[in-house]
Amino acid sequence: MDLIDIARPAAGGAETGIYHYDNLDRAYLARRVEEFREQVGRRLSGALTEDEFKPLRLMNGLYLQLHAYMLRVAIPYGVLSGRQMRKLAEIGRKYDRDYGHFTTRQNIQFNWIKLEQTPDILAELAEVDIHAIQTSGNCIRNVTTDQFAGAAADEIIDPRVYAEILRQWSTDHPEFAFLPRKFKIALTGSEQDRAAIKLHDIGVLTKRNADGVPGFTIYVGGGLGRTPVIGVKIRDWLPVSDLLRYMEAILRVYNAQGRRDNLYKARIKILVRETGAEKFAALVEEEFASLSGDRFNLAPAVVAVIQARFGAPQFATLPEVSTIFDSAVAADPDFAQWTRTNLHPHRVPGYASAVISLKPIGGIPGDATSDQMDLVADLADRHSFGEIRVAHEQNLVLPHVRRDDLYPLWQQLRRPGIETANIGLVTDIIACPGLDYCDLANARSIPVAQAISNRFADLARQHDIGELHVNISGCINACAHHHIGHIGILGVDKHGQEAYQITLGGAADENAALGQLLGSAIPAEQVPDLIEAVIGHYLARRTPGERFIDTFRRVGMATFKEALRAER
Amino acid sequence: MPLHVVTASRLRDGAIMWRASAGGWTEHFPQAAPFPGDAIDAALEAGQADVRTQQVIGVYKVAVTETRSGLAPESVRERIRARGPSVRPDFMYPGA
Repeated sequence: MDLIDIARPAAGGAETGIYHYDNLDRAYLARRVEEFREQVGRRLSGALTEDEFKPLRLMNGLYLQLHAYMLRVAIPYGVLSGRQMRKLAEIGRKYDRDYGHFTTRQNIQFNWIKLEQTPDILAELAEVDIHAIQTSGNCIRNVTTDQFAGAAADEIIDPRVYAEILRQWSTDHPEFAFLPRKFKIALTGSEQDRAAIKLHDIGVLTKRNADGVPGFTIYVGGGLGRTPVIGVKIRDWLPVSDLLRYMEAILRVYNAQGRRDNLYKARIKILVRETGAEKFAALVEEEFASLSGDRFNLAPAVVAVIQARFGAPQFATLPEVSTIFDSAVAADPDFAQWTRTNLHPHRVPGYASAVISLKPIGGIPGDATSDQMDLVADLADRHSFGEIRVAHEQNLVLPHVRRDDLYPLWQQLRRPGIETANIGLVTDIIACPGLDYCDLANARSIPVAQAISNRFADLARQHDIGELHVNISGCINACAHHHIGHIGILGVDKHGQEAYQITLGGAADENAALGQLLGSAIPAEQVPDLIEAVIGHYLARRTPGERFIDTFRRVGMATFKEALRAER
Repeated sequence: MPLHVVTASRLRDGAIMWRASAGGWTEHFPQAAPFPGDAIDAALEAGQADVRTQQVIGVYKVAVTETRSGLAPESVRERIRARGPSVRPDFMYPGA
């Protein structure tokens, strides 16, 4: 798992999309599983106290939550094969309660895990090159990226390749295993930010310089939680070959100067704010200059080897227009509705990326049953070269589907109820597990999401409202990114009762913004009415083609407040 | 007089446990023993002894009230722990 892996040849094989492990990687995972098996044994025998054991289990993604242990499994940069998805389904069926929960970190969580079975689970995951390492603790966590990675029409570079390089660099990095606090990196391969990069400790945006050469714009110090901050740009354009050296420089400055005396001031965002962005950038540049370019240089040949380890789908040469697709759209209005929200342009003519909604009306956002996971795996094998992506919006993506195949694909999604045509709409709600499962939560998230989803169940109405992102977090830790929802909802404890604060105007894209507070917290049962009133005001004020966020930015918070006050 | 029950998580599987009337632990909240006033201190101490023998972890007290149908935790969090996730009726705990 270290950089020496880069020199090894591609594994090849029929399975594309995922990074192919070799025997060294597998031996490493096997060692880690056996190490944890021994640690669990020592804990159960009493040789380790809970205080001694807790950091060890967290290093393996195992939390103790409200009802049971929860295992957070890493899905590197949200990329899965059909074979890996089937294993996740099997874990859900065999060790959990027949389902899993996909998260905003592109990972999956199992909510009903037994400590004594965890080593066996990790051993089974290792069979398909999956693990739970660095999904918790004060280390560099799973690097996240665009859910259309390797497929998007607007992609400048393939972000999976660089996310994998960052994964190898950060896994067991001896200097960065005990950072002041957890550390999250997001990377997107196009100039359009689909990975909320400005809300991460480091955000990497791909762009071309004036000569058309691809490189990276670097942001630092973004983050949500109790102190939400939009990241600041510290490098407008970084050569691709310098990515690792620059990451190393940022982490070194943070590791040396980040606060360890106060949990709430330990994230890099606080360091950047207290140091000042300009001075922080200067410190990084100084550290960057002091590091040997040879040691961290990402030469094109090195990158090519990593790229090759992913394998390449053998795309057919197809016309851009599919008459089969066009006929189906004309004949079936439900399918036509799905195509308006659940498809994304592909870089290869005749193909599209299809988004599978895990937000059925009234459902639990991000949950998938084992049967649904198996079906998605089968569909991936049949229609998408065995490739699957997990979106940070808690949906799944089949990245490479022939446009000719989209109608039969959609028909197969209907039976298990994962065909909802609501991607990017009001019922595509991002929600954390909240107080129903989470030990940290102050209030429930899921029932509020369900109530809103049921209120806006009419798909025609949703499509009329248009793009609208609703995010609901059950506490200030903001796992559901409520600060950057067009409509954000935060559950709080108000005198022992659950209550919800509403924010408006947040955004996660390249124009990232933090939502503004609408008023004081309200009870759960009033939330759908308030959302209805907010949307009603938007519909009354919007101009043709204007999305909710556009109208909000044009008219401002004051008019929304005034309109809602008048209605009451 | 304040009324409490004692709760913890079972070490080997993380299941929610309640200190029972006859001593020991139960998975079923309706069988949890109420401890009035200062009696909770001895119950907590007894629970801590089971931490030292690797039976449970995270022992703490939960404020409850007496209702016509039995004891009820005062906080939403503890009501969810006693009954199961509110969004999955199929996961409701027996007797909840």
